[in-house]
Amino acid sequence: MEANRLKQVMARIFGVDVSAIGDDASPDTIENWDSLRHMNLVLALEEEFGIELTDDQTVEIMSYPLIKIVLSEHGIEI
Amino acid sequence: MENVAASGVGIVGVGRCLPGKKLSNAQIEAQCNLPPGTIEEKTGVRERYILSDEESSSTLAAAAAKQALEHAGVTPDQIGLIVCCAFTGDYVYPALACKVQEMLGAWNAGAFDLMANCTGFQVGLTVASDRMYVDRNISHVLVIGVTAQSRFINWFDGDSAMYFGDGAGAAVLGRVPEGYGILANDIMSNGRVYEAVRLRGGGSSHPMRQENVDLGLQYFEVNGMEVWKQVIQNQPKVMRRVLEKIGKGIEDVDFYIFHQANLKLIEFLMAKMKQPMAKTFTNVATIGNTSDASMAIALCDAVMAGAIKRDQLLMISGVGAGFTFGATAVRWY
Repeated sequence: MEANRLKQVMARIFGVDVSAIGDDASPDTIENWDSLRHMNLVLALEEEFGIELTDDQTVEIMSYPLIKIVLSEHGIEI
Repeated sequence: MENVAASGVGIVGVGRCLPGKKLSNAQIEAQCNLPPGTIEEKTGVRERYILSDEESSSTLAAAAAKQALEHAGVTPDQIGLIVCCAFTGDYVYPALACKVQEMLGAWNAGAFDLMANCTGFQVGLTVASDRMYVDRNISHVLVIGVTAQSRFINWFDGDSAMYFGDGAGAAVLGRVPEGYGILANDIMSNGRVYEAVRLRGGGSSHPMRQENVDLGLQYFEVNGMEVWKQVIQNQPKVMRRVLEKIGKGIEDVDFYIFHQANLKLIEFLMAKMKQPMAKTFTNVATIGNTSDASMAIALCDAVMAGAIKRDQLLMISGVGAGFTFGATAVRWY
């Protein structure tokens, strides 16, 4: 359920089909994952999950697995 | 000494100068083989100004300084110190500030240059105000941020050509009543990413010899991804640090002047801090990233537009190659 929410957000921000967001998704697998869209991802995750990412977390979330780890630090298990 | 009862140090005049040649995105996109619209989409920049053959850092700096002096109602002989924030002086040495002293006839001023790249103007404000707080004999200081970086950009390399423009901005610091003016400054650096944005040619590791020119070392090298990471990770930190010094928080800031690196970055910073864009001023769309001059020109334009009012808490903050992060809190007078 939460995994689907996360993948929906990522798909919307990167402009791809949700099926393109694999469990290993990163800038290496998603061509549209550039700095501009990453900033939009930060803001979208904060809005979707009602959290506030720390300064360091904003640059740590550079892959789907790393986003899951950071979300778990906010009490959201994917 | 003037106004000896005033114990604060504030910005009492501003000025700016842009060079004569306008350069559009279409021209850069054509010569860098970028699809039309790429530059505005990535940076928010639509156009920028670059030096004509007759212009240099000193001509821009002196013009901005004269405008700031006039705005402040201060004559050149009242200036006790000139700080030029620049990495593109007319020569490698001597200091550009000494040339500007000569052009202004500011014969009572000491003068030196300061290098903190795009954070330069904020670091200049820090050093200048510290000097004035320590030495009560200095009534006014001229802080100038200036860049002539078009001379060091490979205009066929989209990674660096898309961002930058030339220009100069200046501020006159003077005595203001206690509680007004520059309240606190903070500077952080991260030398771990020293190589991320650099100009190697002409330095002592890579002197201006033919073999280094052949390698293209006379041009900027910009790792845009690293710039972005450093900004979003560290600029909010340095702003919070300076606000903690005066017992304030982000929500207490009335207006922000940021280094104009990229409109998208500024929009992100404001959104991340949950601050409305109405609380900042941007001109990056029409003049590009003017490096050392950027915050000085933005401040000047905001003041002239009436966007900053007395008693407001102003945040001036930037990030520059090195990397160096700076923030200054000002109670506007």
